[in-house]
Amino acid sequence: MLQAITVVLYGAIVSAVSFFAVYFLVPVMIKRLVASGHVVQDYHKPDKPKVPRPAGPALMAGIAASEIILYILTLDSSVLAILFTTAIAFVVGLVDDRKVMPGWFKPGALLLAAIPIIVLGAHPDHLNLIFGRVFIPLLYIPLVFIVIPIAGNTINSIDVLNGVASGFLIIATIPLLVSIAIFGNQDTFLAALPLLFTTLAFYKYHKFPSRIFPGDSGTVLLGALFGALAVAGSSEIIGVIVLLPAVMNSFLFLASVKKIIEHRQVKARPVTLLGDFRLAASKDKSAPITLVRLILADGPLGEREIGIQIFKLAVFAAIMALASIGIQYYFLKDVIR
Amino acid sequence: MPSPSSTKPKVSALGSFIVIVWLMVLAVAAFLATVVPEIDTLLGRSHLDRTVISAAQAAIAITTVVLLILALSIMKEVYIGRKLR
Repeated sequence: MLQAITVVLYGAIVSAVSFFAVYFLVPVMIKRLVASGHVVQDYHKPDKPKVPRPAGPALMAGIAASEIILYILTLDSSVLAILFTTAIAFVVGLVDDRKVMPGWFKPGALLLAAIPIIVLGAHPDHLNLIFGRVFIPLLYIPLVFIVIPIAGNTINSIDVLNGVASGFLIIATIPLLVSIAIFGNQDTFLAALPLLFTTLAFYKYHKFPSRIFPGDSGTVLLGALFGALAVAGSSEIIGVIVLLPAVMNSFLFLASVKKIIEHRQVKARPVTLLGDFRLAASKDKSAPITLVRLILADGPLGEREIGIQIFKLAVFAAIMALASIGIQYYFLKDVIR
Repeated sequence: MPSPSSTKPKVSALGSFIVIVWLMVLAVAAFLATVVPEIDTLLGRSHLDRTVISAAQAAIAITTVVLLILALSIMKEVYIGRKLR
């Protein structure tokens, strides 16, 4: 066990490294991506500006730098497992950024990202189920193979409009950190800080109107990192609850298209762009159901307003997650370390 | 420039939907945390093999999660039916 002052010091170091690495690297990436022509059109803006993509390498650099420093300080193999999982997810996303891959590629390839957690023994042998704890040493292994691909794809699928994925993740990470601090261990808590600070720094550039897009490499690595932290920090169910709006988005999409496909492969769009650049829910019955389409069912909204509605739902889910942490603490206070 | 929206945004219905999903997750978690471990005691009395008991517990747990997904699917249909059509 680290002393409180050491935890604060290590926490300050990893937070500062992750925040400032991304804060200073992203502008460099923006210039390089624009110069090399790696830009995509933002169709929801009046002049359809070209926005550089992906920011994944800058996010990966920030997370890698802070997690490597944390590993040197703590020599905890769980930190390495979290880093390797994130790195594999980043490579999977980067392949998808560079080349048009079939729909099964990301969830399939993300199974590989679960391996470091199992090989390095970063997962617990029990599952905290709010009202109690179940000991499942064998059943936990397939669970890791489910959690990492789902977390990676869930954050990827919520990256629908300017700033939504990063803003949503900032809100979702706060209850996760609280849960890891209570039910996990100090090293995993320290390893979770870069997720919050990387995303906070990135939000400056990703918020409406976006100056850069995270791309698949950015969203998949952040999602896989979230999943790895939830597993290593004994906060799996809390992680599910806090991601409920995003999980719902993926669930609605999959249930309506009835197969694993990329959003770009969908012929009927879930939303339509109006002449005044507001978005409206599609009237096409064959169009997939998404969170944005449901938000727009009450009437057309601008891109920024939709983002605010999604953030409201994220705050709502975060409050439910904090309530769940309270309930879980009541039931597990005698068994937690 | 985009004109300001004339429609007051409403996420209260979606928020209610998420609360119901949360309550369902809590119900399933309560079942898995309290009822499933008791099977161990129940089947243990009949001197069944430990592996068989664990397999039964795993099967019940997986079935419960599948039932939760099916229930969510039905709920989604009802919600979307009211919201979009």
